[in-house]
Amino acid sequence: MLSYRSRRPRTGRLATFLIAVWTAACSDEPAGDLITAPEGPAPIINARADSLPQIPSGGAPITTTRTAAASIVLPVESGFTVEFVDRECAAVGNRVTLTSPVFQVLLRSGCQAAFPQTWRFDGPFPAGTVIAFLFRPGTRHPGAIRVSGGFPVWTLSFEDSTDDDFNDLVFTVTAECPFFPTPPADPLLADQAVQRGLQDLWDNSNPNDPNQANRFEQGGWIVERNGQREVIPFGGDPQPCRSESPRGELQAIQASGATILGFAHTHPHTFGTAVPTDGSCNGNRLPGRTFGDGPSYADERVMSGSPWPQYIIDENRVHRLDPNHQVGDPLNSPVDRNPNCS
Amino acid sequence: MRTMIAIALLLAAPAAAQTQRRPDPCGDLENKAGALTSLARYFVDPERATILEGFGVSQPGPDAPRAVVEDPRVCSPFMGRVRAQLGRSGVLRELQPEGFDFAVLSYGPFLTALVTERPQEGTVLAHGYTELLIFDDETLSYVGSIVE
Repeated sequence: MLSYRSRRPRTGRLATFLIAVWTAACSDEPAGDLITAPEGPAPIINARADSLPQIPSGGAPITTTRTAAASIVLPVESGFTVEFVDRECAAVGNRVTLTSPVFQVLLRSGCQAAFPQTWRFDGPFPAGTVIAFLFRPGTRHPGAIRVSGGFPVWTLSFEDSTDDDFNDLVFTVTAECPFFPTPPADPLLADQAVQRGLQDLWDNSNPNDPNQANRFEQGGWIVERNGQREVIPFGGDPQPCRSESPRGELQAIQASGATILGFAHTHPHTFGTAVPTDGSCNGNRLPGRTFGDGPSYADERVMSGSPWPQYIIDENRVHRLDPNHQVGDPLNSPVDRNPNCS
Repeated sequence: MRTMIAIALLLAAPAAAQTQRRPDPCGDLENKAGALTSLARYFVDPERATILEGFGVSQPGPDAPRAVVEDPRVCSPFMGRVRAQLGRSGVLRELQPEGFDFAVLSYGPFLTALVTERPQEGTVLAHGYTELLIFDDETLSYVGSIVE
């Protein structure tokens, strides 16, 4: 195959350029200088995934004579970050390029590059977006990429020689997990700042800790202050089985000029699991107790006379109790959220 | 005159005692009917059947009778069992300082006690400790508890 540079000027159309890059990179011929980027800052080309040739998904590596490719598929609408986390190599010219959904040369000579380095791609990119990488080693050996992990964190290990230790360059790709897979109709839940606040409450509940005693209910006030919405966590010590805003806290928040819009708390315990017997859950030290699901009687009771809605966050859903909800009133349909992906 | 005052006080004492609310052996929980409806999900919803199955019993299903129990002759001995169970578990010790509210609810072959932490004045108890203790209706043997 003839050199791309010898056949077409660089001033060609973007799509043609990208396709040519792809074709060259995936050919059986040594890539050589075919995808050498101009000197200076790495080019950032905001190409969408669908403007590039699609490559097989699912992390299956493709190895050509020298250049290797690998891809990951985003299962949900999301942004993502790529982090260069480790290296153990000496070759000059180990080049790593992100080719989809954005074209960007990440490292021109990875063995000499500082780490860690992080590249952030906010997107959000739609579900099904392919995140694709090319690796062209600076050695004369074929490059290879190994993909491990799964949503939301993958590890890409690059091999530039024949020892197959797959530690020459190591990257992680982390999908930012949106709180909801689709924008909720509830305007308060649709607010990005509120979603971040609810995500923080969830994350701070230690929801993935296998020991239920280490999972804490976290609550907070959803407020608007100076035109900005935020979630102010409840003060006091979080506990595994209760969530309380201490005396005077509500009044202090209101006195600060904040308008209360609602309140929320988490249910981080997995439905049907055993209540810990170490006394952390309200003193319980006997087996035979099981976590139920919400909203609980107590969640409903607190709504009597409440002018604000309450949100209860569990592993998969967000429940809303309307202002002045009474115990036993019909419940709203919960809103599905992305499960543990923090 | 002094005698009349004394008589008046004597008369007033029982009257005052009568106006002081005596603990209801069947519980003082607010909105017991609402609680009966809300907690029925554990006894009728198929997707929650695993909870009772985990205790070695089956859901009674949606057609089983359910009721708020208000008969002191049922509630008094039953709550004795409930307090003993809570005492053994250690939960009662945690609840006592603030007190708790409870209701006795019946779902098919189960007699249950909903026990929930009473909020302290000035706090917003978004989620107080709540436990539904489930007993066999006939033998009053303990089946298991659901902590919400």
